[in-house]
Amino acid sequence: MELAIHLRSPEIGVEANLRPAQLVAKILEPFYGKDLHWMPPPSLHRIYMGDEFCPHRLPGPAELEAYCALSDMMGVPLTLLTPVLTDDELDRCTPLFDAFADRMPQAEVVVNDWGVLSLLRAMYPSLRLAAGRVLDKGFKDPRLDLRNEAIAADDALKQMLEGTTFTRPEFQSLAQHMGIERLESDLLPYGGTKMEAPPFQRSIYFPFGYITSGRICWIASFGQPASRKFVPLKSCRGPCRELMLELHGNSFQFRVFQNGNTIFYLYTLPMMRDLLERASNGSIRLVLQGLSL
Amino acid sequence: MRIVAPVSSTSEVEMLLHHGADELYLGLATPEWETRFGHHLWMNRRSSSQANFSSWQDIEEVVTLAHRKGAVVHMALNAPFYTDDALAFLLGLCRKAVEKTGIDSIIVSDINLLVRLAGEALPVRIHLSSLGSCFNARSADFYRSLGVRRIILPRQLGLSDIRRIVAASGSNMEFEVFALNDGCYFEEGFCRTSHSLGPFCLAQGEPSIHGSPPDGISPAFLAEGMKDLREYLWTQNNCGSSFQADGLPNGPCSLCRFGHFRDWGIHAVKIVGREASFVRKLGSIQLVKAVMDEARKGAGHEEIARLSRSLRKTPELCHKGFMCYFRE
Repeated sequence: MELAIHLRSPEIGVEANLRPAQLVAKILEPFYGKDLHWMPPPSLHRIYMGDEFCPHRLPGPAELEAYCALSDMMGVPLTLLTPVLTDDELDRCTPLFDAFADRMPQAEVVVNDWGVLSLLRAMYPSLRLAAGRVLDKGFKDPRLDLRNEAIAADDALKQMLEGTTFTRPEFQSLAQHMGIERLESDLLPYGGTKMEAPPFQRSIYFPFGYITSGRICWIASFGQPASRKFVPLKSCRGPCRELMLELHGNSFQFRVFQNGNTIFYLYTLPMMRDLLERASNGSIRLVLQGLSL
Repeated sequence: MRIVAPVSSTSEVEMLLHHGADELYLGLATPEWETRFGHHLWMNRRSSSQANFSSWQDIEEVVTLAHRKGAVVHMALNAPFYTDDALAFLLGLCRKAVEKTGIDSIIVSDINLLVRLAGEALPVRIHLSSLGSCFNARSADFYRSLGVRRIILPRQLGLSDIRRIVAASGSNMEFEVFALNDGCYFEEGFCRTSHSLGPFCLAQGEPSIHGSPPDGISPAFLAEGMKDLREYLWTQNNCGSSFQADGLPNGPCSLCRFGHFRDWGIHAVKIVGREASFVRKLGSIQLVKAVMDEARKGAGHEEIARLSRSLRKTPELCHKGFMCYFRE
C-alpha cells in the first residue's frame, strides 16, 4: 500500500511535519473517534497539491516552488491535481505546467478533463498521467435508502451501484490509448469498489467521496455583491480554506459535507475498515484528503 | 441559428414546428427498460413518463412529421453512465432507432457509449450532451476524434469561454447552447446524484459549520447565505415553474445573447424541458422564436438584449443576473 496526502498548502505540510500517525489522528479521529484502529505506514509516500474541483486552488509559481522544496526535503514525489479548465484557465495554467515539467519532468498529473489531458500529452510528454475521479461517473447519491430496495434480488441495481466509467473495457482501452497509467476513484457509497484494474495502477481517496460539484461556488459568494454571487469567478479569495459545512438533509444516509464548490459523503466506519484492510494487502494508493487541512 | 425544441408527445409536434422549431429532441423510456433496469437507472437524463416516449410507433410518427416539414429529430441517451447490461441493451436500441424510426442524431454523454457508437458507425449523427463537460477547445477536438458532430455546451461556461471554443473549432464542429428554462446549481457533468431521488440541490437541508468557525463567519452570516441560495435555486427551478401574466414562462435564459451566438457561429439554441406541459412548451417556443427572428434579421446585440428583457417582463430578476446562463 502507498499512502499519499493531499495538502491545501505547502506550509501546512511543513507545520504538520507530515508524520502519518499524527496526520491520520488529526484528520480521521474527529469523525471516527478511536474506533478505527489503523496503524498507517511509518512514512508518507507522496504529496498531492492542486485540486480536481476548483481552478482557484491550483498553486501559483511561489507555492509550486515551496511544494517542490517540501518534496525534496521529505524525499517524496509530488502529484498535481487538475480540474476541468476553460481555455482562459488553460492559458493561465501554462506557466504552472511549464514550471512543474521543468522542475520535475517525471512527475504525475491527475487530469479530470479530456482537453487538459490532450494538452499535457502534446506539450509535456514526460509527465505521467492519471485519470481523476471527476471522470469516473457512477452512482454516488447519498439519499438512496437500501432498506427500501430489494438489492439482493436485483442484479440491475447491483450493477448500477458497483459499476462506474472506469470499470468498462471501452474506457480502459481509451485511457491506455491516451497514455493514462493510473485510475483514481472514490469508494462507492453502496457498492464494492474494485481495487485492482490492471494494467492500470489504482488510487482511492479517503475518508470522503465526492457527490457533486460545479463551477458556481456558494461558499465563495458569501458577503459578495449580487454580481459575484452564483457566477464562475475569475478570481477567488478562498474562504473554503477555512470553512467546511456539514449538510443535514433529511434523506441522507451518510454524513455529508461541503467544502468550496463540492459536496462530499464521509465513508462510514465499516467502509473505512474494509478499505484499509483491503488496501493493506495490495499495491493500491490511498489518498488522504484533509479538505480544510 | 436553429431552434431546438423538446417534444414528448405526438400532439406537440405540429405546434412546435408551426411556431418555429427547426429541430426536435426526444427521449425514450420503454416498459422493457424499466423491467430490466428498474426505476433508478434512467435511459436518459429525464425519466418521468411525462418527459419520454414509450412507443416506437409514436417516435416514428414524430420523425415523419418533422421530416415532412424539413426539421430533424434527435434522441437523447444522455444518462451520465450506463451499466454493462444497459450498454449492451442500448447499442441494440440505437440500431433499432436508426433503422426503424429514421432519427437523425443521438445525444450521448457516457464516454463508454460514445466509444461503442464510434465503433458501430451507424448512419446517424452523434451529438455530445452538455453532461459530456466540454469546457475548452482541446476537449472539443477530443470529442471530434470520437465522431461527435455537435457539442451542446455546458451552462456554467462564461460567454467569452463559448466564443473561444467556437472560434478555435471553426467549421469542424457544430455547437448548441442553452436558450431557455431549467438551470442547475451544480454542473450536470460533474454530478453523481440521481434525479430519480428528486433534485439533490433541493434536499441538502440546513448547513452547520464543521469545526471552529473562521473569523467573520457566524450562524447569522450563514443564514444570509442560505437566503441567497434559496433565491438562486428558485430562479434555476424556472422561478417556481411560474409564468408571466402574458403566459410566457419564467426561468433561466440566454435570450439577450442571441446576437453574440449568431455572430460567433453557434449552430443551434436549445429550449430545455421535455417534461414541460404543452402550454409551457408553447410559451417557450414563442419566446425564443420572437428573439430569434430579430437575430435572423441582423439586429444588433443591444437591440436583441432590449427586446429580450422587454419580453421577459422581470427586470428585477434580469438585473440581478441569477436567471442568466453563461454568466461571467
